[in-house]
Amino acid sequence: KEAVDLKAQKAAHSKSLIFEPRIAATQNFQTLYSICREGFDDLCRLDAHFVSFGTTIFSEQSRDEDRSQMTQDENAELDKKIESFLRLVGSRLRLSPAIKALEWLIRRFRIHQYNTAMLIATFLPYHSLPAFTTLLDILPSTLPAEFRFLDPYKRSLTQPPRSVLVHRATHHPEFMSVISQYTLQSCRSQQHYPVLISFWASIMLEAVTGMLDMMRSGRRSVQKSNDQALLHQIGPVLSEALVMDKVSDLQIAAYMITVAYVSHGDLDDAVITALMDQVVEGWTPSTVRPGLVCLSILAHHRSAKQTSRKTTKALLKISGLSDMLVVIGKEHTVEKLAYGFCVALVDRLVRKGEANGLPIVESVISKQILSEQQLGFVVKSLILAAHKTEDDVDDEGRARKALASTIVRLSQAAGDTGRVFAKTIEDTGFDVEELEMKLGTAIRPKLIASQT
Amino acid sequence: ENDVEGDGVYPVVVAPQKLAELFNAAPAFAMPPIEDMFNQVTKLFSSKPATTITA
Repeated sequence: KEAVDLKAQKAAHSKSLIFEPRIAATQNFQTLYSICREGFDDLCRLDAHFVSFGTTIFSEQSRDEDRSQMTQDENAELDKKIESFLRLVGSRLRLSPAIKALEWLIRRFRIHQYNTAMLIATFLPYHSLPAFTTLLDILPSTLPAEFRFLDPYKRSLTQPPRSVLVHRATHHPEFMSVISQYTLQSCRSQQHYPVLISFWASIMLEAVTGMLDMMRSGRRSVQKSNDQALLHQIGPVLSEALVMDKVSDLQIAAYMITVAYVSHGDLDDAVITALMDQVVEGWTPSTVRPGLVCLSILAHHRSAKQTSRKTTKALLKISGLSDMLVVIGKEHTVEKLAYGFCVALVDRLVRKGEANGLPIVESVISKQILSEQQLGFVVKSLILAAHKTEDDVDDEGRARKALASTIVRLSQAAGDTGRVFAKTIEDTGFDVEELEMKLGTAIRPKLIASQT
Repeated sequence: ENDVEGDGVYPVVVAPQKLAELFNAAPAFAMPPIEDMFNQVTKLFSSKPATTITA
């Protein structure tokens, strides 16, 4: 029996990312440590975040540490260190120092056996590289359930193509969940890197659209319940990613997935509104531009209604918003967002007497961001606001004064704006005299002038 | 509330191979910065439709 154990031990010791099993089997930890430590030191020179591991899993003392002799708590503590190191080293897996350092963890701490899932997840963005097959080769014969689909690639020692990962994520929620949680956790602990985020986002995006396509083939009632299931699955992930304001790349990735989800799906307004609110809740100066693009597309897929209170407040804070919308409008449909925002601002004026949104409404109108029909509605809502705004919200009449000058300026505007303004008054049969009394200003002569 | 009428917005169908083409162009470690990807993807999903009926 001892001979069998010894043979098994030798076989286990020969699992290596770098050396042939025959050579690995003969290596002692002293030799290995010096080779691997060199890799680790190189990593530290590249990135000081690695340095702290030099006193733990890469310390001289680690040469004599044997997992099987450690207590459960000690093992759990070790796992934490290893996981943290793996998240950090993920960005460097194409560099040989990283492979050398990992070799130490494999040989000394058997992370391929004890931390298999974590190790696979770390290597997954590099699934197309030979290093991935080398890893598959040394993994235990039974892979963790969520990665068992990689069995054929382990057996044949070939690299799984991207399509296989996408297919898996599309048809098996648990796989999507594994890569999402890995990515989110790396971002939470500030150990993210661009490759990881791009990898996650691209798989997630294709999987989400793939799932939507599958659902569309069912009956309407089935579709609705599928929609709910999908929302349940990806909603929490998107929600967290959208508001992770310390990780701009993740936010932008989440905008991308959200755009695909909302454009491709057939979602209720309430869901889209909630997503819009999350976009504005999390955006920062470095993500506000893509955030606005995302918001415009989301608004486009909602029925034409005013933006929510939260979104309105966030949009109000952006300086130069109408200029940004003009630029974005060259490639995307921004009208509905602009329209919903203007209507919300006018509503705010009526309800609270807050007139600080009027310059933005005027600027959106004068930059011709709105369609003619939308412009008509906004003009109408401005005139209605003049009628509805009362002393109880505007006791000094400041809001009405601001509104009056806005209306006067718009009625004088050249081109479409003035024309639509005059037409709206005519169509809706407003009593101009009454309006003028209310606003304490003269509109009529200017109106007539603008009509001629 | 002023709802604009004739609000015909339908889900955008992007052929799966278009997305796959975009992402298969390079492995994750050679992809362009995420904002470039974002621009490419949003263009696919929202390229201004020629027949917008959103008034």
